[in-house]
Amino acid sequence: MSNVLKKTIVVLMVTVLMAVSVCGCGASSAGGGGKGKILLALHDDTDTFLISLVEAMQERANKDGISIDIVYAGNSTDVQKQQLEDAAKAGYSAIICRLADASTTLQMEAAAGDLPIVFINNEPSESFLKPDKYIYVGSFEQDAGRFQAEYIWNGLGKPSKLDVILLKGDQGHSAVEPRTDAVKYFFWDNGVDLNVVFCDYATWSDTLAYEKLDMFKLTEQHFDCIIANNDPMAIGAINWLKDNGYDTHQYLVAGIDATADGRQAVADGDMYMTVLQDTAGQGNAAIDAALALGSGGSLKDVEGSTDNLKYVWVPFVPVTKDNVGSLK
Amino acid sequence: MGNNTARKQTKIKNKLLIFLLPAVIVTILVLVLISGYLSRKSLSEMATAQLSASITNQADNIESWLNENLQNFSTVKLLIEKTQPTAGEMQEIIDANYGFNKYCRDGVYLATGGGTIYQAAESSKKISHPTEQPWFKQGMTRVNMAYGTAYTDANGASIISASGLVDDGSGQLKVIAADLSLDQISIIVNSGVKMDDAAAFLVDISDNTILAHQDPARVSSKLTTSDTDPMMAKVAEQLAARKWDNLTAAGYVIAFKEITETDWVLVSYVPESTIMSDVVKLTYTLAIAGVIAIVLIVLIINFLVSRVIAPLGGITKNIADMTEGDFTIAVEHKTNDEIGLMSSKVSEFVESMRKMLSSINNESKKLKEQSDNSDRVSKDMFEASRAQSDAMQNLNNTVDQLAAAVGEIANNASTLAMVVSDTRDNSNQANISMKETVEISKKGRSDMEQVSAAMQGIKEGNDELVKSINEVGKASEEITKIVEVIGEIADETNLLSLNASIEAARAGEAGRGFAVVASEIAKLAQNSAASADNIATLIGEVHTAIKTVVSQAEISAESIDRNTMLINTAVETFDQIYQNIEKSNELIDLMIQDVEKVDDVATNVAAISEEQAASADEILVTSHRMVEQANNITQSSQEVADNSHELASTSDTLTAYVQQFKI
Repeated sequence: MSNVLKKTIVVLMVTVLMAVSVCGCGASSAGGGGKGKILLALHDDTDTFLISLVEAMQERANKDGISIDIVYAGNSTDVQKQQLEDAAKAGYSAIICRLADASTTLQMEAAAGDLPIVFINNEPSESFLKPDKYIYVGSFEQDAGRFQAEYIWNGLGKPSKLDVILLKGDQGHSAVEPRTDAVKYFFWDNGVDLNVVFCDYATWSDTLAYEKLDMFKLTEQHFDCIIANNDPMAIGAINWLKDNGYDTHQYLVAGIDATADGRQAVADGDMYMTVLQDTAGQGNAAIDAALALGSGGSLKDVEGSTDNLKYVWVPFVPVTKDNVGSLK
Repeated sequence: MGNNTARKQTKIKNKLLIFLLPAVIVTILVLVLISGYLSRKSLSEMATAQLSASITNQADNIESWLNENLQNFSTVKLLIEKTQPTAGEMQEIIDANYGFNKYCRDGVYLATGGGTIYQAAESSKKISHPTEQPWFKQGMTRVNMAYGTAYTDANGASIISASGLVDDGSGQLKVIAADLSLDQISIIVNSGVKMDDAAAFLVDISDNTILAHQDPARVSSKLTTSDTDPMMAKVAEQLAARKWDNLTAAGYVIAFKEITETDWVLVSYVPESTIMSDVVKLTYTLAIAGVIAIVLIVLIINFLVSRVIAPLGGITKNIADMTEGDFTIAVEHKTNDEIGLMSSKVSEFVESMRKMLSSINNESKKLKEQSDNSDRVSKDMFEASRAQSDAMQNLNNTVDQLAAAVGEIANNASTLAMVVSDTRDNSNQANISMKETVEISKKGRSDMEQVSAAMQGIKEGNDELVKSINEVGKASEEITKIVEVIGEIADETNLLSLNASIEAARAGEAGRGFAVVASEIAKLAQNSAASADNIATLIGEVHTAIKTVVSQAEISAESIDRNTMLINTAVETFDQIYQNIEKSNELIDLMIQDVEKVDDVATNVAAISEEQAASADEILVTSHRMVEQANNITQSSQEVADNSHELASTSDTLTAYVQQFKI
């Protein structure tokens, strides 16, 4: 019996030792990569928000001597998949990826092999994220919608009943539903009798927003405010309001992103408020996360990471006439 | 005998089992516990994951089903928007599409802001005042068709409508719509459940309407936190808080999934017991497997041990018989192996034992007789010595008491001598004091006598003084008499002088000279009379003083007399005291003589009794020693008795043992 015990113990110890040494090797090889190279795989080079995000990341990379390569997929999931497959062979330590389509997350993860991926801007479903492996860096979209609803409601004097027009972005975009839902949730939670008089997709575009509002005009319904998923649609709404003789100081408009035009509109008093996605913050957080995961580390040490180690949230900043001047 | 052998075999087995069983049981228990814990964990994780997968799958199904229908309706809408049909063409398009979607029984229909209605000819849907219908109002809020909230249509059916504005550029308000029944959605929802005992329902969180549920009564009812079903109430709570994490409540594992692009949430739940039933089954299986394993191992050990021990059975039996004292056995030794050799050696051993035992038996019998005798003798001796010891002890006690008594007397005598001696010293002291007192009282008496004599002198002196004074008194009385004579003479002289003066006056001139002499004589007579008076007065005073002195001297004399009397009394008292003291002194002297006699006697007694005490102690020590010796003798004889008794019983035992052997 004691022999059997001894043997068992020996076998166990050998197993543990082997496991430990294998782990140790894995860790040291990852550590040997040092800062490593990071691949920035983006869907498209035209998105204004993404352009400023890339600028923020490059600035950070130059400052800290981090090597970053950028590839664009031209909005094609096939191209993006190929780019990630290549990255796995090209010796990158981590990938920062803006998915061309959030529903292709699993294919992209498979394409990247063992490389960790930091998703940005287009949020995959949580079930496709893995702690300290496939993570998302962004702003908590519901916060943006909540800020919009809160500021508009306060701006209108906290009415108990509200007729709202909601302009949504692209159908299927990960930010659309949370931003829109958060507006509704805010009013529900504050006991406001919410009447959505119009709610439709305007595909992030000012002209489409304008057209949709023209259709709304046919219904001859009353409204108090227009809440848009982004600034261009909000600016389209402002144009429509002005063209139709509405006073933008009475019919409040809220956007998101605090783009240059959006900030100008806020400064002019036409847009009641917008919400800033902290591009520099997101860029830095994405780099921090990619460095941490690329060296076999954990998200724990990255500021804003959630307990489940799947997300890094960079806070939104509400922008009104009061603070718009302080933004560059 | 057979029983005995079996017992020995069981013992070996027990030993093995005692070592093996706990190890086996602990190992199996640990294995069962670990695998039970792990599989329990992974089973419930799997079940939860399965539920999550199931609900995700369902949600996907529902989403795609909804989207499919929406696409279908949107196609019609797009056709209308692109072709901008006339009223007739519109009706054709709608009729043509009727029946294309089996879920949409009433087909696509359309109404204008003016109240014109287009619906399929075969449709049974009743529409009046279209602009006031929910689907129309909902459709006004979007261009892309989307589903609205549930409502009851004119036929009383619970439905939802997909509706939207028609953007045909006509500038006219047109809303296109199509209906799906909640019953149909319920079928879709529940047919997608991919887990045993699991169920699902769909809730619109914008108004908390249950859109789909297994229980038709619940469909289109409101879900509230005050629901009678605790599980449903908990779900309502979670929906209000919009928490979509899996949870376990009211005996169910519940999962939530939002249906994208709607305010709908799919809720799927499975009884915890369903998940746990597998776990329980597994635990049972593991426990039974463990028990079976233990039983099997016990049986195998049993069997192996029995097989190993079997060939030794014969020898074991022989040895067991020998142990019982049976040396009449005949040991078989047929085989040539170790067991055969062992048997032949055992046989030789039995033979030699037999011889040895019979000689021991004889010797022990003799020994027994001898020891019995010795036992008896030693018992008698013991009794005798014990009696002697008791007697000795009594003697010792008596001497002890005697010694104690003598010691006491000696002590008392010494004390008495001491007391007497002290008394004698005290008496001598008293005698000396007494003599001193006698001297002092003698001196006091003589002093007193001197005082008395002095007092007598004083008395005489006083009397002398009185006498002298009285003589002075007599002398002064005589002086008084003389002075009286002088006074009479002076008076006569004065009278003569007066007469002379008168004669002189009558004589005239011639008498003048005589007259002067006569007046001078008058003057002298008068002066003499005055002096005589003065002297008489002085003598009177002297007389008075003398009287006073005399009376005082008398008083002195009286007090001296009294003092003298008192002193005489004191002298007498002193005499008496002196006599008394003298008598006391004599008595003390007598007493001292007696005390001295007593002292001598007491000292003698003390000395004698001390000697006596010393002698008694010596006697006591001697008798103690005798008692000890007697006790020693008793003990020794006891030991002898014990030894001889033991010897007797040993020889008994030996005899008994030897007699046990069968030879």
